[in-house]
Amino acid sequence: MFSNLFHPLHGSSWYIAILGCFALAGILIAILQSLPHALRRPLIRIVTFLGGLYYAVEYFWPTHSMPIPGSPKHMGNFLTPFISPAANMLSVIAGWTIGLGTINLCQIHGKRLLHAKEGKLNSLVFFIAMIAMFTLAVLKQAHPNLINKNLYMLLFEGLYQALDSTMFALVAFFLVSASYRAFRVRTGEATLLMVIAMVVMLGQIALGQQLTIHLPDHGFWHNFRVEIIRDWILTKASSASVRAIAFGIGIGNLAVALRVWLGLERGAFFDS
Amino acid sequence: MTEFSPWLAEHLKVMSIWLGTFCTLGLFSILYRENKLYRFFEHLFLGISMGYLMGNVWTDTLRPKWWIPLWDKGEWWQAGVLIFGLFYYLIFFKKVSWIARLSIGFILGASSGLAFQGFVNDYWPQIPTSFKPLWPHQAIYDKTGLLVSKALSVPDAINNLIFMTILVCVMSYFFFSIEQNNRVLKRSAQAGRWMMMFTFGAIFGSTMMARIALLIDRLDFLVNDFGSHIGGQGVMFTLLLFLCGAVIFLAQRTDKE
Repeated sequence: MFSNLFHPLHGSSWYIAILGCFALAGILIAILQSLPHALRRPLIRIVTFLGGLYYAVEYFWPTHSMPIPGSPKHMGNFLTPFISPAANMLSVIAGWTIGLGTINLCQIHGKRLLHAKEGKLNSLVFFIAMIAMFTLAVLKQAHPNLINKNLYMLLFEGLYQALDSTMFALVAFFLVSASYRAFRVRTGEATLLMVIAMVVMLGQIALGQQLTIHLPDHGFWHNFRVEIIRDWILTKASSASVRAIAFGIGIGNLAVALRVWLGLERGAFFDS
Repeated sequence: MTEFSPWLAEHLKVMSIWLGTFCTLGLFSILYRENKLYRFFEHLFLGISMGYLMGNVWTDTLRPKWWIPLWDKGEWWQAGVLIFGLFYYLIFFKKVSWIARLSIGFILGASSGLAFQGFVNDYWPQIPTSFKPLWPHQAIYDKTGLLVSKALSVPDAINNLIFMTILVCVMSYFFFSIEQNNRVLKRSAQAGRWMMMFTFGAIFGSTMMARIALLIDRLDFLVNDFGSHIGGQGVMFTLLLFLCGAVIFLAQRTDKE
Protein backbone atom coordinates (compact mmCIF):
# COMPACT_ATOMS: atom_id res chain seq x y z
CA MET A 1 0.00 0.00 0.00
CA PHE A 2 2.82 2.36 0.98
CA SER A 3 4.77 1.62 -2.19
CA ASN A 4 1.68 2.62 -4.20
CA LEU A 5 1.21 5.81 -2.22
CA PHE A 6 4.81 7.00 -2.14
CA HIS A 7 5.71 7.17 -5.79
CA PRO A 8 6.89 10.34 -7.51
CA LEU A 9 4.30 12.48 -9.27
CA HIS A 10 4.69 15.02 -12.04
CA GLY A 11 2.57 17.74 -13.60
CA SER A 12 -0.83 18.64 -12.21
CA SER A 13 -1.01 15.57 -9.90
CA TRP A 14 2.15 16.83 -8.18
CA TYR A 15 0.52 20.22 -7.51
CA ILE A 16 -2.64 18.50 -6.23
CA ALA A 17 -0.57 16.31 -3.88
CA ILE A 18 1.30 19.34 -2.52
CA LEU A 19 -1.95 21.27 -2.02
CA GLY A 20 -3.39 18.18 -0.33
CA CYS A 21 -0.41 18.08 2.06
CA PHE A 22 -0.95 21.72 3.01
CA ALA A 23 -4.70 21.17 3.43
CA LEU A 24 -3.97 18.20 5.70
CA ALA A 25 -1.50 20.33 7.66
CA GLY A 26 -4.20 22.98 8.12
CA ILE A 27 -6.65 20.33 9.37
CA LEU A 28 -3.97 18.88 11.65
CA ILE A 29 -3.25 22.30 13.18
CA ALA A 30 -6.98 22.85 13.72
CA ILE A 31 -7.32 19.43 15.43
CA LEU A 32 -4.21 20.07 17.56
CA GLN A 33 -5.50 23.48 18.53
CA SER A 34 -8.82 22.00 19.62
CA LEU A 35 -7.06 19.56 21.99
CA PRO A 36 -7.59 20.27 25.68
CA HIS A 37 -4.57 21.77 27.47
CA ALA A 38 -4.19 18.65 29.63
CA LEU A 39 -3.52 16.53 26.53
CA ARG A 40 -0.90 18.79 24.96
CA ARG A 41 1.98 17.90 27.23
CA PRO A 42 1.50 14.12 26.87
CA LEU A 43 1.28 14.58 23.11
CA ILE A 44 4.63 16.43 23.06
CA ARG A 45 6.13 13.60 25.12
CA ILE A 46 4.74 10.96 22.75
CA VAL A 47 6.18 12.78 19.71
CA THR A 48 9.54 13.09 21.51
CA PHE A 49 9.46 9.37 22.30
CA LEU A 50 8.54 8.48 18.71
CA GLY A 51 11.38 10.68 17.44
CA GLY A 52 13.93 8.56 19.29
CA LEU A 53 12.16 5.21 18.95
CA TYR A 54 13.39 4.45 15.44
CA TYR A 55 17.10 4.80 16.27
CA ALA A 56 16.74 2.95 19.58
CA VAL A 57 14.84 0.00 18.05
CA GLU A 58 17.11 -0.08 15.02
CA TYR A 59 20.10 -0.41 17.31
CA PHE A 60 18.72 -2.95 19.80
CA TRP A 61 16.81 -5.17 17.33
CA PRO A 62 18.75 -8.38 16.52
CA THR A 63 20.73 -8.13 13.32
CA HIS A 64 21.41 -10.60 10.53
CA SER A 65 23.63 -10.65 7.48
CA MET A 66 22.55 -7.92 5.07
CA PRO A 67 25.17 -7.56 2.31
CA ILE A 68 25.26 -4.20 0.54
CA PRO A 69 27.38 -3.15 -2.45
CA GLY A 70 30.93 -2.58 -1.21
CA SER A 71 30.34 -4.25 2.17
CA PRO A 72 29.47 -7.97 1.85
CA LYS A 73 29.75 -8.55 5.64
CA HIS A 74 27.28 -5.77 6.49
CA MET A 75 24.88 -6.61 9.31
CA GLY A 76 21.44 -5.12 9.81
CA ASN A 77 17.76 -5.65 10.51
CA PHE A 78 14.49 -4.68 8.83
CA LEU A 79 14.93 -1.05 9.97
CA THR A 80 18.52 -0.61 8.76
CA PRO A 81 17.67 0.32 5.12
CA PHE A 82 15.76 3.36 6.38
CA ILE A 83 18.74 4.88 8.23
CA SER A 84 19.81 7.04 5.30
CA PRO A 85 16.30 8.43 4.48
CA ALA A 86 15.70 9.04 8.21
CA ALA A 87 19.02 10.90 8.55
CA ASN A 88 18.14 12.99 5.46
CA MET A 89 14.72 13.81 6.86
CA LEU A 90 16.18 14.80 10.23
CA SER A 91 18.85 17.01 8.69
CA VAL A 92 16.16 18.76 6.60
CA ILE A 93 13.90 19.30 9.62
CA ALA A 94 16.90 20.55 11.64
CA GLY A 95 17.95 22.70 8.66
CA TRP A 96 14.75 24.71 8.88
CA THR A 97 15.81 25.98 12.33
CA ILE A 98 18.25 28.34 10.60
CA GLY A 99 15.24 30.56 9.92
CA LEU A 100 14.52 30.94 13.65
CA GLY A 101 17.91 32.51 14.30
CA THR A 102 17.66 34.63 11.18
CA ILE A 103 14.21 35.94 12.09
CA ASN A 104 15.42 36.75 15.60
CA LEU A 105 18.38 38.75 14.30
CA CYS A 106 16.20 40.46 11.69
CA GLN A 107 13.69 41.45 14.40
CA ILE A 108 16.41 43.06 16.53
CA HIS A 109 18.14 44.90 13.68
CA GLY A 110 14.89 45.68 11.84
CA LYS A 111 13.51 47.44 14.94
CA ARG A 112 16.71 49.42 15.30
CA LEU A 113 16.56 50.43 11.66
CA LEU A 114 12.83 51.29 11.56
CA HIS A 115 12.89 53.32 14.78
CA ALA A 116 16.16 55.00 13.70
CA LYS A 117 17.83 54.05 16.98
CA GLU A 118 21.54 54.36 17.74
CA GLY A 119 23.59 52.00 15.59
CA LYS A 120 21.10 51.97 12.70
CA LEU A 121 23.95 52.19 10.19
CA ASN A 122 25.45 49.04 11.69
CA SER A 123 22.10 47.27 11.40
CA LEU A 124 21.87 48.33 7.77
CA VAL A 125 25.35 46.92 7.18
CA PHE A 126 24.24 43.68 8.82
CA PHE A 127 21.26 43.35 6.44
CA ILE A 128 23.25 44.23 3.33
CA ALA A 129 26.07 41.82 4.23
CA MET A 130 23.69 38.97 5.08
CA ILE A 131 21.56 39.33 1.95
CA ALA A 132 24.58 39.76 -0.34
CA MET A 133 26.42 36.73 1.04
CA PHE A 134 23.34 34.49 1.00
CA THR A 135 22.31 35.56 -2.52
CA LEU A 136 25.79 34.97 -3.91
CA ALA A 137 26.16 31.61 -2.11
CA VAL A 138 22.90 30.44 -3.73
CA LEU A 139 23.67 31.96 -7.14
CA LYS A 140 27.16 30.46 -7.18
CA GLN A 141 25.59 27.01 -7.07
CA ALA A 142 22.49 27.66 -9.18
CA HIS A 143 24.29 29.66 -11.94
CA PRO A 144 28.00 28.97 -11.57
CA ASN A 145 29.21 31.59 -14.05
CA LEU A 146 32.43 33.58 -13.67
CA ILE A 147 30.82 36.70 -12.24
CA ASN A 148 28.85 34.89 -9.55
CA LYS A 149 31.88 32.82 -8.55
CA ASN A 150 34.18 35.85 -8.42
CA LEU A 151 31.74 38.01 -6.47
CA TYR A 152 31.29 35.18 -3.99
CA MET A 153 35.07 34.75 -3.70
CA LEU A 154 35.43 38.49 -3.12
CA LEU A 155 33.04 38.34 -0.18
CA PHE A 156 34.43 35.03 1.09
CA GLU A 157 38.15 35.81 0.88
CA GLY A 158 38.00 39.58 1.26
CA LEU A 159 35.49 39.76 4.08
CA TYR A 160 34.52 36.44 5.66
CA GLN A 161 37.96 34.86 5.94
CA ALA A 162 39.65 38.07 7.07
CA LEU A 163 36.96 38.90 9.64
CA ASP A 164 36.74 35.33 10.92
CA SER A 165 40.45 34.79 11.48
CA THR A 166 40.92 38.30 12.92
CA MET A 167 38.06 37.76 15.37
CA PHE A 168 39.65 34.53 16.58
CA ALA A 169 43.12 36.11 16.62
CA LEU A 170 41.71 38.79 18.93
CA VAL A 171 40.92 36.03 21.41
CA ALA A 172 44.70 35.63 21.95
CA PHE A 173 44.82 39.08 23.59
CA PHE A 174 41.78 38.41 25.75
CA LEU A 175 43.13 34.97 26.70
CA VAL A 176 46.36 36.52 27.93
CA SER A 177 44.59 39.18 29.96
CA ALA A 178 41.97 36.76 31.35
CA SER A 179 44.51 34.08 32.22
CA TYR A 180 46.66 36.67 34.01
CA ARG A 181 43.71 37.42 36.29
CA ALA A 182 42.33 33.89 36.61
CA PHE A 183 45.45 31.76 36.92
CA ARG A 184 47.50 33.80 39.33
CA VAL A 185 49.91 31.36 40.92
CA ARG A 186 48.31 31.11 44.34
CA THR A 187 47.95 27.36 44.84
CA GLY A 188 49.97 24.31 43.90
CA GLU A 189 47.36 23.26 41.33
CA ALA A 190 47.41 26.68 39.63
CA THR A 191 51.22 26.51 39.56
CA LEU A 192 51.11 23.08 37.93
CA LEU A 193 48.65 24.39 35.32
CA MET A 194 50.85 27.36 34.48
CA VAL A 195 54.06 25.31 34.33
CA ILE A 196 52.53 22.73 31.98
CA ALA A 197 51.03 25.49 29.80
CA MET A 198 54.45 27.13 29.60
CA VAL A 199 56.16 23.86 28.65
CA VAL A 200 53.57 23.16 25.93
CA MET A 201 53.92 26.67 24.53
CA LEU A 202 57.73 26.64 24.68
CA GLY A 203 57.82 23.23 23.03
CA GLN A 204 55.90 24.57 20.06
CA ILE A 205 58.08 27.58 19.21
CA ALA A 206 61.62 27.72 17.87
CA LEU A 207 62.77 29.99 20.69
CA GLY A 208 61.64 27.49 23.31
CA GLN A 209 63.25 24.61 21.46
CA GLN A 210 66.55 26.52 21.45
CA LEU A 211 66.62 26.33 25.26
CA THR A 212 67.32 22.58 25.21
CA ILE A 213 69.03 22.31 21.82
CA HIS A 214 72.34 21.35 23.50
CA LEU A 215 70.83 18.10 24.82
CA PRO A 216 71.84 15.03 22.72
CA ASP A 217 69.74 13.77 19.78
CA HIS A 218 69.63 10.22 21.17
CA GLY A 219 69.73 8.47 24.52
CA PHE A 220 68.26 9.19 27.93
CA TRP A 221 68.85 12.96 28.03
CA HIS A 222 67.12 13.37 24.67
CA ASN A 223 63.82 12.85 26.54
CA PHE A 224 64.38 16.12 28.40
CA ARG A 225 64.24 18.25 25.27
CA VAL A 226 61.34 20.67 25.61
CA GLU A 227 59.65 19.55 22.35
CA ILE A 228 59.86 15.89 23.46
CA ILE A 229 58.37 16.75 26.86
CA ARG A 230 55.61 18.68 25.09
CA ASP A 231 54.83 15.71 22.84
CA TRP A 232 54.79 13.37 25.83
CA ILE A 233 52.43 15.70 27.72
CA LEU A 234 50.02 16.00 24.78
CA THR A 235 50.05 12.40 23.52
CA LYS A 236 50.60 10.32 26.65
CA ALA A 237 49.94 12.05 29.99
CA SER A 238 47.02 14.34 29.14
CA SER A 239 45.33 11.86 26.78
CA ALA A 240 44.49 9.65 29.78
CA SER A 241 42.79 12.55 31.59
CA VAL A 242 40.98 13.58 28.42
CA ARG A 243 39.71 10.03 27.98
CA ALA A 244 38.52 9.83 31.60
CA ILE A 245 36.71 13.17 31.24
CA ALA A 246 35.23 11.99 27.92
CA PHE A 247 33.87 8.85 29.65
CA GLY A 248 32.18 11.09 32.22
CA ILE A 249 30.74 13.32 29.51
CA GLY A 250 29.54 10.29 27.53
CA ILE A 251 27.74 8.76 30.51
CA GLY A 252 26.20 12.13 31.40
CA ASN A 253 25.11 12.61 27.80
CA LEU A 254 23.55 9.15 27.76
CA ALA A 255 21.66 9.82 31.01
CA VAL A 256 20.32 13.15 29.69
CA ALA A 257 19.35 11.53 26.37
CA LEU A 258 17.43 8.82 28.21
CA ARG A 259 15.64 11.38 30.38
CA VAL A 260 14.67 13.47 27.35
CA TRP A 261 13.54 10.46 25.35
CA LEU A 262 11.36 9.09 28.14
CA GLY A 263 9.96 12.54 28.98
CA LEU A 264 11.45 12.52 32.48
CA GLU A 265 13.35 15.73 31.97
CA ARG A 266 12.07 18.82 33.76
CA GLY A 267 12.48 22.44 32.70
CA ALA A 268 11.04 25.17 30.49
CA PHE A 269 10.48 22.93 27.47
CA PHE A 270 8.67 20.02 29.16
CA ASP A 271 6.89 21.70 32.06
CA SER A 272 5.26 24.94 30.94
CA MET B 1 28.12 43.02 -17.36
CA THR B 2 30.33 41.41 -20.01
CA GLU B 3 33.04 44.05 -19.34
CA PHE B 4 32.64 43.84 -15.59
CA SER B 5 33.31 40.11 -15.41
CA PRO B 6 36.90 40.12 -16.79
CA TRP B 7 37.66 43.32 -14.85
CA LEU B 8 36.52 41.66 -11.64
CA ALA B 9 38.51 38.51 -12.38
CA GLU B 10 41.61 40.63 -13.00
CA HIS B 11 41.26 42.76 -9.85
CA LEU B 12 39.78 40.10 -7.51
CA LYS B 13 43.03 39.37 -5.68
CA VAL B 14 43.87 43.06 -5.11
CA MET B 15 40.34 43.89 -3.97
CA SER B 16 40.31 40.91 -1.57
CA ILE B 17 43.60 42.09 -0.05
CA TRP B 18 42.42 45.69 0.40
CA LEU B 19 39.07 44.58 1.87
CA GLY B 20 40.82 42.06 4.12
CA THR B 21 43.20 44.76 5.37
CA PHE B 22 40.39 47.15 6.25
CA CYS B 23 38.53 44.36 8.05
CA THR B 24 41.64 43.23 9.96
CA LEU B 25 42.61 46.73 11.08
CA GLY B 26 38.97 47.60 11.85
CA LEU B 27 38.59 44.65 14.20
CA PHE B 28 42.02 45.15 15.75
CA SER B 29 40.97 48.70 16.66
CA ILE B 30 39.18 47.17 19.70
CA LEU B 31 42.65 46.73 21.23
CA TYR B 32 42.68 50.48 21.84
CA ARG B 33 39.14 50.68 23.20
CA GLU B 34 35.46 50.20 22.24
CA ASN B 35 34.87 52.34 19.13
CA LYS B 36 32.47 52.87 16.22
CA LEU B 37 34.81 51.41 13.63
CA TYR B 38 34.99 48.13 15.54
CA ARG B 39 31.19 48.05 15.93
CA PHE B 40 30.81 48.55 12.18
CA PHE B 41 33.08 45.64 11.31
CA GLU B 42 31.54 43.50 14.05
CA HIS B 43 28.11 43.92 12.43
CA LEU B 44 29.61 43.29 9.02
CA PHE B 45 31.05 40.03 10.37
CA LEU B 46 27.71 39.08 11.88
CA GLY B 47 25.89 39.71 8.59
CA ILE B 48 28.49 37.93 6.45
CA SER B 49 28.61 34.93 8.81
CA MET B 50 24.82 34.67 8.92
CA GLY B 51 24.58 34.87 5.13
CA TYR B 52 27.34 32.27 4.78
CA LEU B 53 25.62 29.92 7.24
CA MET B 54 22.25 30.33 5.51
CA GLY B 55 23.89 29.73 2.15
CA ASN B 56 25.60 26.61 3.48
CA VAL B 57 22.37 25.20 4.93
CA TRP B 58 20.63 25.76 1.59
CA THR B 59 23.38 24.47 -0.69
CA ASP B 60 24.55 21.53 1.46
CA THR B 61 21.33 20.36 3.13
CA LEU B 62 18.03 21.79 1.95
CA ARG B 63 18.70 21.92 -1.78
CA PRO B 64 20.14 18.41 -2.30
CA LYS B 65 18.05 16.61 0.33
CA TRP B 66 14.74 18.42 0.06
CA TRP B 67 14.35 20.82 -2.88
CA ILE B 68 15.73 18.58 -5.64
CA PRO B 69 13.74 15.46 -4.54
CA LEU B 70 10.58 17.57 -4.16
CA TRP B 71 10.81 19.77 -7.25
CA ASP B 72 12.92 17.80 -9.74
CA LYS B 73 12.15 14.19 -8.79
CA GLY B 74 8.49 14.73 -7.93
CA GLU B 75 8.73 13.28 -4.40
CA TRP B 76 5.61 15.11 -3.21
CA TRP B 77 5.80 13.66 0.30
CA GLN B 78 8.82 15.89 0.94
CA ALA B 79 6.19 18.63 1.42
CA GLY B 80 5.38 16.89 4.71
CA VAL B 81 8.95 17.46 5.87
CA LEU B 82 8.58 21.13 4.95
CA ILE B 83 5.33 21.38 6.90
CA PHE B 84 6.85 19.66 9.93
CA GLY B 85 9.82 22.05 9.67
CA LEU B 86 7.48 25.04 9.35
CA PHE B 87 5.88 24.04 12.65
CA TYR B 88 8.96 25.60 14.28
CA TYR B 89 7.80 29.01 13.07
CA LEU B 90 4.48 28.71 14.90
CA ILE B 91 6.53 29.77 17.94
CA PHE B 92 6.09 33.35 16.70
CA PHE B 93 2.26 33.07 16.96
CA LYS B 94 1.19 33.06 20.59
CA LYS B 95 -2.06 31.11 20.13
CA VAL B 96 -0.48 28.13 18.39
CA SER B 97 3.08 28.45 19.69
CA TRP B 98 2.85 25.15 21.61
CA ILE B 99 2.66 23.23 18.30
CA ALA B 100 6.27 24.27 17.64
CA ARG B 101 7.20 21.99 20.54
CA LEU B 102 6.14 18.99 18.50
CA SER B 103 8.91 19.66 15.99
CA ILE B 104 11.39 20.55 18.72
CA GLY B 105 10.41 17.44 20.70
CA PHE B 106 10.77 15.22 17.64
CA ILE B 107 14.28 16.50 16.98
CA LEU B 108 15.18 16.17 20.68
CA GLY B 109 13.87 12.60 20.71
CA ALA B 110 15.74 11.68 17.54
CA SER B 111 18.93 13.24 18.96
CA SER B 112 18.43 11.13 22.09
CA GLY B 113 18.03 7.98 19.98
CA LEU B 114 21.20 8.89 18.09
CA ALA B 115 22.98 9.49 21.41
CA PHE B 116 22.53 5.79 22.36
CA GLN B 117 24.17 4.73 19.12
CA GLY B 118 26.80 7.45 19.48
CA PHE B 119 27.70 6.32 23.00
CA VAL B 120 28.07 2.70 22.01
CA ASN B 121 30.02 3.47 18.83
CA ASP B 122 32.26 6.17 20.33
CA TYR B 123 32.94 5.06 23.90
CA TRP B 124 32.64 1.28 24.06
CA PRO B 125 35.67 0.65 21.80
CA GLN B 126 37.69 2.95 24.07
CA ILE B 127 37.07 0.80 27.15
CA PRO B 128 39.10 -2.27 26.07
CA THR B 129 41.83 -0.08 24.53
CA SER B 130 42.23 1.64 27.91
CA PHE B 131 43.52 -1.61 29.42
CA LYS B 132 47.11 -1.53 28.26
CA PRO B 133 49.83 -4.14 28.86
CA LEU B 134 52.09 -3.25 31.79
CA TRP B 135 54.79 -5.92 31.54
CA PRO B 136 57.62 -5.50 28.96
CA HIS B 137 57.79 -8.42 26.52
CA GLN B 138 59.03 -9.51 23.10
CA ALA B 139 56.71 -9.68 20.10
CA ILE B 140 54.30 -12.65 20.42
CA TYR B 141 53.39 -14.82 17.40
CA ASP B 142 50.90 -17.68 17.14
CA LYS B 143 51.71 -21.12 15.68
CA THR B 144 51.08 -19.95 12.12
CA GLY B 145 53.55 -17.07 12.57
CA LEU B 146 50.87 -14.39 12.79
CA LEU B 147 51.64 -11.43 15.06
CA VAL B 148 49.45 -11.60 18.18
CA SER B 149 51.02 -8.83 20.25
CA LYS B 150 53.66 -6.22 19.40
CA ALA B 151 56.84 -6.01 21.48
CA LEU B 152 56.57 -3.75 24.54
CA SER B 153 59.67 -1.86 25.68
CA VAL B 154 60.31 -0.73 29.26
CA PRO B 155 59.60 2.99 28.52
CA ASP B 156 56.34 2.01 26.79
CA ALA B 157 55.35 -0.12 29.79
CA ILE B 158 56.05 2.86 32.11
CA ASN B 159 53.96 5.10 29.83
CA ASN B 160 51.13 2.55 29.93
CA LEU B 161 51.31 2.45 33.73
CA ILE B 162 51.16 6.27 33.88
CA PHE B 163 48.22 6.25 31.43
CA MET B 164 46.22 3.75 33.47
CA THR B 165 47.01 5.43 36.80
CA ILE B 166 45.86 8.82 35.48
CA LEU B 167 42.74 7.29 33.92
CA VAL B 168 41.69 5.57 37.16
CA CYS B 169 42.49 8.61 39.34
CA VAL B 170 40.58 11.08 37.13
CA MET B 171 37.61 8.72 36.85
CA SER B 172 37.56 8.31 40.64
CA TYR B 173 37.33 12.11 40.94
CA PHE B 174 34.01 11.95 39.05
CA PHE B 175 32.73 9.05 41.15
CA PHE B 176 29.82 10.68 42.96
CA SER B 177 27.64 7.60 43.55
CA ILE B 178 28.94 7.28 47.14
CA GLU B 179 30.44 9.80 49.51
CA GLN B 180 34.22 9.86 49.11
CA ASN B 181 35.03 8.98 52.74
CA ASN B 182 37.18 5.99 51.93
CA ARG B 183 40.87 6.92 52.30
CA VAL B 184 41.98 5.27 49.07
CA LEU B 185 39.17 6.83 47.05
CA LYS B 186 39.79 10.22 48.61
CA ARG B 187 43.51 10.17 47.80
CA SER B 188 42.84 8.85 44.33
CA ALA B 189 40.30 11.62 43.67
CA GLN B 190 42.78 14.21 44.97
CA ALA B 191 45.45 12.90 42.63
CA GLY B 192 42.86 12.95 39.86
CA ARG B 193 42.31 16.66 40.46
CA TRP B 194 46.04 17.36 40.14
CA MET B 195 46.16 15.33 36.95
CA MET B 196 43.26 17.25 35.52
CA MET B 197 45.03 20.53 36.27
CA PHE B 198 48.01 19.06 34.40
CA THR B 199 45.75 18.34 31.42
CA PHE B 200 44.01 21.71 31.58
CA GLY B 201 47.44 23.32 31.49
CA ALA B 202 48.27 21.35 28.34
CA ILE B 203 44.93 22.27 26.75
CA PHE B 204 45.37 25.92 27.72
CA GLY B 205 48.86 25.99 26.22
CA SER B 206 47.68 24.40 22.96
CA THR B 207 44.68 26.77 22.69
CA MET B 208 46.89 29.76 23.35
CA MET B 209 49.33 28.70 20.64
CA ALA B 210 46.48 28.12 18.17
CA ARG B 211 45.21 31.68 18.74
CA ILE B 212 48.71 33.11 18.47
CA ALA B 213 49.16 31.21 15.19
CA LEU B 214 46.04 32.99 13.89
CA LEU B 215 47.41 36.33 15.07
CA ILE B 216 50.72 35.66 13.31
CA ASP B 217 48.75 34.75 10.16
CA ARG B 218 46.92 38.10 10.25
CA LEU B 219 50.16 40.02 10.82
CA ASP B 220 51.77 38.03 8.01
CA PHE B 221 48.85 39.00 5.77
CA LEU B 222 49.21 42.67 6.65
CA VAL B 223 52.98 42.80 6.27
CA ASN B 224 53.52 40.51 3.27
CA ASP B 225 50.27 40.48 1.25
CA PHE B 226 49.11 44.03 1.84
CA GLY B 227 52.64 45.41 2.30
CA SER B 228 53.58 44.45 -1.26
CA HIS B 229 50.76 46.71 -2.54
CA ILE B 230 51.86 49.83 -0.69
CA GLY B 231 55.55 49.97 -1.33
CA GLY B 232 56.98 46.90 0.37
CA GLN B 233 56.92 44.91 3.57
CA GLY B 234 59.19 47.40 5.33
CA VAL B 235 56.67 50.21 4.83
CA MET B 236 53.82 48.14 6.24
CA PHE B 237 55.94 46.93 9.13
CA THR B 238 56.85 50.54 10.02
CA LEU B 239 53.20 51.54 9.67
CA LEU B 240 52.14 48.73 12.05
CA LEU B 241 54.81 49.75 14.57
CA PHE B 242 53.56 53.33 14.32
CA LEU B 243 49.97 52.15 14.86
CA CYS B 244 50.99 50.09 17.90
CA GLY B 245 52.87 53.07 19.31
CA ALA B 246 49.87 55.34 18.73
CA VAL B 247 47.53 52.85 20.46
CA ILE B 248 49.86 52.58 23.49
CA PHE B 249 50.27 56.38 23.66
CA LEU B 250 46.51 57.01 23.40
CA ALA B 251 45.73 54.28 25.95
CA GLN B 252 48.18 55.78 28.43
CA ARG B 253 46.76 59.29 27.90
CA THR B 254 43.23 57.95 28.46
CA ASP B 255 44.39 56.23 31.67
CA LYS B 256 45.86 59.52 32.99
CA GLU B 257 42.62 61.39 32.21
